[in-house]
Order: sequence, then structure tokens, then C-alpha cells
Amino acid sequence: MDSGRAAKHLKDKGNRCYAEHKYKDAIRLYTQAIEHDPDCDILYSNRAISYFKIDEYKESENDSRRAIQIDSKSVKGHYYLAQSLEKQCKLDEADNSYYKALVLSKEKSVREDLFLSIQESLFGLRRKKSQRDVDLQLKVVKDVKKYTMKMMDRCEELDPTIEIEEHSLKRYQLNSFFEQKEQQHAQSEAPDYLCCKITFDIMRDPWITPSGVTYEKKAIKEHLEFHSFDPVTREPCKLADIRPNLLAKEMIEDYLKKNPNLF
Amino acid sequence: MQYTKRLQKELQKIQSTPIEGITVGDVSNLQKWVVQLDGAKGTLYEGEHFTLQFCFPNNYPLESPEVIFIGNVPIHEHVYSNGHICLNVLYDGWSPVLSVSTICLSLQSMLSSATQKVRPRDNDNYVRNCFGKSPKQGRWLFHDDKV
Repeated sequence: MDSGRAAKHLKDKGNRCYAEHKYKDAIRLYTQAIEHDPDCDILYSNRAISYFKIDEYKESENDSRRAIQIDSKSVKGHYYLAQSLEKQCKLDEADNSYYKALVLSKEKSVREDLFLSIQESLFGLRRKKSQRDVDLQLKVVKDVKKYTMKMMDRCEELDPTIEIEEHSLKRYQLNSFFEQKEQQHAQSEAPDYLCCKITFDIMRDPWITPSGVTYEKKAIKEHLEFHSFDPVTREPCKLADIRPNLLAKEMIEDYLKKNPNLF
Repeated sequence: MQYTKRLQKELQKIQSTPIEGITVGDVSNLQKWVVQLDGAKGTLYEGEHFTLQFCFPNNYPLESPEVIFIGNVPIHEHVYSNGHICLNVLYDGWSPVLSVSTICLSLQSMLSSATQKVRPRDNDNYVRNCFGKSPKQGRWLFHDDKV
């Protein structure tokens, strides 16, 4: 048997083991296959996901990286890399890799379920990241507030000449400043101008009418199937008149990048 | 419902920034709201309280909600004694960017602009014919479109 055929045979056996959840056997078979064919990215990405399944995230990361070295456009390579990085709490790197996997899967038009699971993983990670950031910032604000209030108490004790009235005014101002900060961090609604006037939700696919009003594509399309006017201006408008609003799309993507909890 | 966020946001907004004379009551069923509407000061309805019932179809806001007065029905030339309301925006004049609060404001201004308290001319006939029907099933001939 030539080495190409031997590698394929071992890979198929490995895939069967993987399907039966025998991950250690699968890893052994993929390793043998790699000895026959060391330049096949799929063998590495298959071994990567097998390592992932038995919680060997570092090994999984290494194999994913090898797969990407061989084929920089390997969707699964980037996807598995992202998953193993996420498990190792390297959230920013994981975000990058999920994003690459998502872009590549669009380019290469992969199976839809793979695309959707990459997308869902990315959104999930971004929610996790933003929650982490919010928690962190909130903690800093609370710490600083506590410290400042304590210092103000001390000043009052130590310095009898202090103007009590002015002091309590400042205390009040600082307090409301901190409260405002706390509220800002807890903010969870998108601004109205990025929301569709029909759905009241942040737009995913913004389309604009000739009157210049932008709506969620699905909602305005459904409206125009039965009516021929712009909902806000009531000017005549037909289904064929609407166009994607690319500026709005960029703004929304940018906003979501900064506020990933709204995904 | 298709656009679930829509009603949640409307409710949130109306509760966080209330409008004078409009109070949301029972909303335990998100698709059926009860809203209290107060007669505005300096109008014929000052001091009176009315209750509106909103029923939202599954494709709200693409389709208008069904809005009627229940209980104490105001005496007004565009309001039938069974609670049905003759107001263009609730039927053919509906646009999906209108909302519970804009409807309430329209109704408030409709009541406020009244110069006399009378029932619609065809009240008895209408009420007899549409017994048990939704106002959205009828064909409306609007008495005037100025409101």
C-alpha cells in the first residue's frame, strides 16, 4: 500500500472511532496516519477535535495550529483553535480565530450547520467577554467609590476647619457621578437610531427607502408586500424601491463589536 | 409572535417614561393589554376615566391591534356604545411605526377636540349589525379624517 492510501485508510478508521466516541483510539489512528502523510491539514484538525473531546486543550490548540500552517484557509483549523483557546480562557485570541473561521466559512460556502455553529460560538464568546468586561469595570467603579467616601470621612474627622456644607455637596456630587457610571456599565439597550422603527430591535440587515428611512429588511419587505407606502413618511414606496443601507450596516457592526452583549 | 421584542420594548418605554393621562394596567398577557385613558383637563371629558383594551395580532406591528373601549364607554361622535372606535389609524390608516402610545395620544386628542357629547348618528344600526364581531371586520366610512 502506498503511503497516501495507508493514510486514508487510517483516517477513515479514526473517523469511525470518533463517531463512536472512542477519542483516544481516534487520536492513535490519526497519529499513525500523520506518519504516512505529514502534510495533510485534515488529519491535524481531526486530531485536534479529538483532543478537545478529552479535554486536552493544549494538544488541541497545537494540532489546530499545524492544520492552519498547512492550509491557512482551513475553516475547521481556525474553529477548533478558537474552541481550545476559549477553554484555556484566552478569550481575545479565541474571538479572533472564531471570526477568521466565520469569514472563511462564508468565503468557502461550507455546510450551513457548521457555519451556524461557528456563528453561535462567536456570539456566545462575545457575550461572555462583554460580561467579563462589564463586571471588571463595575468592580473598579465600586472600589474607587468606596475609597473616595472613606477618604472624605477621614478629612472630616481630621480637619475641623472644613466647610461642612461644601463638603457634603461634594460628597453628593461624587456619589451621583459614581452612580451614573454604575448605570452606564449596566446598560443593555441599543440606541434608538440603530433600531428599526417597526421591530424596535437593533437592525441586522438595514434597508433604506427612497424617503431615506432605514428599516430591518424582513419587516419592511413584509410591509411592502401588502402596502405601497413608507411607514414613517407615508410617501409612495414599492418593494423594488428599497436598497441596503451600507453605512447603517457598518455602524451597527461597529456598535456590536463594542457592545457584544447585544448580539 | 413574530416580533417579540417590539411589545416588550413598548411596554418598557411606556412604563419608564409615562405619558400624562395614560396608564398601563393589566399586561399579564403580553398580547392583550388594558390601558387607562384619562379625559384631559379643560375638555368635555375632564375627570372621567376610560379603559381601553388592546389585542395584538401575531404579526403586530405589521397589522394593527384591535382597540376598543371596555366598561365606561365615552360619549363621542366617533365612539359606538359597544366600545368600537371609528378612527382611521386603527384600520386602513395604520402604519407599522405607530404604537400603543401614539394610538393613545390620537384617542386623547380625538376626545379633547369634541365640542359636544353625542353618539355616532348610526350608533343603533351599527351596534345591532356588528354584535360579537371585531371592529376590524367592518368596513369603515370615516365621518371625518381631521382627528
